[in-house]
Amino acid sequence: MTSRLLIVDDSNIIRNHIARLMVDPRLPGIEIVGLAGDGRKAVEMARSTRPDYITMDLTMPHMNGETCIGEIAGLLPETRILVVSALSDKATALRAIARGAHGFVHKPFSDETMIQSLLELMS
Amino acid sequence: MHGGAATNVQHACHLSVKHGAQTGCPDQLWGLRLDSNRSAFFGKYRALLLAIGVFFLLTVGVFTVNYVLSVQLANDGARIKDSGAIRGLTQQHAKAVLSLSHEIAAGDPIQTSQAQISESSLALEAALARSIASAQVAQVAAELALLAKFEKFWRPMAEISKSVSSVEQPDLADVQAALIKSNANNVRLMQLADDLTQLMETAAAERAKNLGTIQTLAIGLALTSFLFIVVYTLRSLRRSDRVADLARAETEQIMATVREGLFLIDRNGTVGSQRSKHLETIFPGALPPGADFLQVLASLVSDETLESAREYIGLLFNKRVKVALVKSLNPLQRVEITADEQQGKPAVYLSFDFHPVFGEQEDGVAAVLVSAVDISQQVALERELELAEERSRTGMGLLVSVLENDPGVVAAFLASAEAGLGEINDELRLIKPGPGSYNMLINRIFRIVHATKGEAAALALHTVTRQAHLFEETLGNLRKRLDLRGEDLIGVATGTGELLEELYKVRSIVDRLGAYAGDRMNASPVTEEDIHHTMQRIQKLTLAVAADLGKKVRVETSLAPLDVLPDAFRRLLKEGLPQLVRNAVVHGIESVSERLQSGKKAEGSVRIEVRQAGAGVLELEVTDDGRGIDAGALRRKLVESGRYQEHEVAAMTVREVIATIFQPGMSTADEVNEHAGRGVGLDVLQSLVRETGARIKLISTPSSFTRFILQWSPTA
Repeated sequence: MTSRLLIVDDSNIIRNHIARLMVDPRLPGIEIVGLAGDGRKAVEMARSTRPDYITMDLTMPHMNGETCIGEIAGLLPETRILVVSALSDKATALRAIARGAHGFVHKPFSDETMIQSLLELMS
Repeated sequence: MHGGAATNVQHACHLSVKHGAQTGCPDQLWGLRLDSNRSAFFGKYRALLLAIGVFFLLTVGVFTVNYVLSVQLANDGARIKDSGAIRGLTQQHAKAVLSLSHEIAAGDPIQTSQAQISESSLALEAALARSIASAQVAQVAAELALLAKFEKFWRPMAEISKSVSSVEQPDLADVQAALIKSNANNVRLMQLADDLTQLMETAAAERAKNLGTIQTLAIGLALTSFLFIVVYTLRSLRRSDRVADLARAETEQIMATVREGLFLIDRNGTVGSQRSKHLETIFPGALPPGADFLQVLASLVSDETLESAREYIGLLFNKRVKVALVKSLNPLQRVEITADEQQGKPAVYLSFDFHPVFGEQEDGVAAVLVSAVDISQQVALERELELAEERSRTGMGLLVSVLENDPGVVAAFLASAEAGLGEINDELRLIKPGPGSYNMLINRIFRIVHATKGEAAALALHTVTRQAHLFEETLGNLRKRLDLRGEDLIGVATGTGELLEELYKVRSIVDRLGAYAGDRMNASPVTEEDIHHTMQRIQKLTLAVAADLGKKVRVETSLAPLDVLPDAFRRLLKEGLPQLVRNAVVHGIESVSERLQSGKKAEGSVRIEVRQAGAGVLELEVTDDGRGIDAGALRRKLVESGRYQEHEVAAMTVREVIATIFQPGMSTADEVNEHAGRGVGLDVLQSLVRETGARIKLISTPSSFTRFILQWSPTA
């Protein structure tokens, strides 16, 4: 059974980077159900696509990741959320995870780190 | 069981911590689990349960046997009673028959005898029937035989009884016949009844004896199994105590020797009772059991970090959060401990790591194992590495600076700075004790160092600039004092050495670069760019020195086109020119106010000219419109410095007097000028001129100008 993944990041480069990593043979079959560039779009897409997993940036236009996580966690309690953000603001990341995320990967990340983190998220 | 669960936790945790630290791959180890091992419970107590089962079965068996035998004994009693009754009734029956015969023979009215015959006969019949029935049930052959015999003798008696008791007034003859029969059988019946009773009693006694034996045996067995249970229980208790003690001892050993501060905290941040000994070393204030970890932390970290720590620990207890995926958010990865009493000591850094410990059931995290490590050394090492990197960066920077500068400018700077500092060293050795002479020396050194700093800055030799600046600060402090003593000069000597050290680093780079260049040719084609580059550097140096001295200087250049540049003349340009220009700015050009007072323009002029003077003859000329060389002042100075006697100086021509400025240690300037009084530059120039085979010309008019001409000819 394939897992459904939603990638949320305001950077096109990061979104595509994460998407490209999903073909790694160690990962279970992953279907990317959406790419969102801001918080509002992320919540809309989460509602319509009901993903199993989400990678989530924190600093985004329209709605920041923290609020976004809160909304999605309320909407889809089964969905696991991986925060992908810079380490400069640990306090924000901690709050975001407390709002309903499951893990954290700091930017910049290596391919290996991202894959291992996703495996851990899916375990 | 003594603290079994707690012991297990610490074992599991410790091992995992170690493991994680070694492999650096703690992902699988983040979740520690309390191991309850329920199936082992039954294995451990199987023998005990078996013993209890045996004890129970034995007890039930004894009770059953006891009950059965008691019932049998009760039965025996009833039969013995019946058999006794049969004997008595036989007797009673015989007596009644006798009484009846007497009553009838005497013609007396029949009283109770007839009824007694009937009653005893009926009772005997009943007892006999019971006895036969029970003997048949018990299947006792001897008994049945006796009873059959008894019945054989009794049956005729029973019929007689019937015949005499069934009529109201029996015949005497019938009664007497019955009496005869009764007497005849009575003894025999009595005998048989006695035999029967005895037989039964013997059997009962046998049975009772058996019961006793069985009871004794059963009680013995029960006691044995009870004893076994007691002994076994005691032994296993002792064994498990030993195991627990061993585990506790191991835990204590681990806790005593592990080089980490280990302790558990619960959901509220309360510190558990078990902790490693090392924790006391790390936490001078200690974390007593029951203390609030976050409260202790509050005095060590900023409010912001504390808040983050609170949130982070909260996340660890959250079942949803993947602990391995939030590790990088740990706000206590590096904590600088700033205890008040540690003022002045090097900073202490602690690193806290958190490992959740899961409860027995799937009910999430029961506690968090905290491991605190003193990482001060590691941090210090990182700092050193950073410094080393910084140093290698500055070394690189130094090389780049040297390469970017004109080699001659750098060489001239090094020569004068090293000479100046060498002089300081000499003077420090030779100084006459006394605050006055100390102060004078310090002032002199200050000026030299200040000038070195300015020039180094102009040449972008930052390491030298920095060192000179540090030294200058030390000297500045000494300059303010009027009570200088000999020991104050120690710092000056050290500072001089350190500055020389930095100069030496530059020198070694210059030397190595020189070694690469070598002396491959005597002359090389000269390009416009080459000369212009040199001039640009010179201009930069001039302006830097002037700015440092608060003077205004304009540099003018006049460069004749040259086809080739002989090596020797190239050296004059690169090493001599900076010296001449510096000399012109420092010694020739007056300060702005001095110039204005003398009716000159505020801005002084330094003119540099390179020209061809005849076949192959090259000249470098530097002219400044400064104060010129005052022969009179020079004469006074020669006497004051103690180099010459007054009469000697008086005998010298002006030319001779002026020639002394090329002597080592001589200066053309007043002491008033802060950057003068070094007496180094022209000495160096003199050597250079000698080495290159050039000639030096000096023309000067006091208060008007000074002109140096370096002339080089290939034939010289």
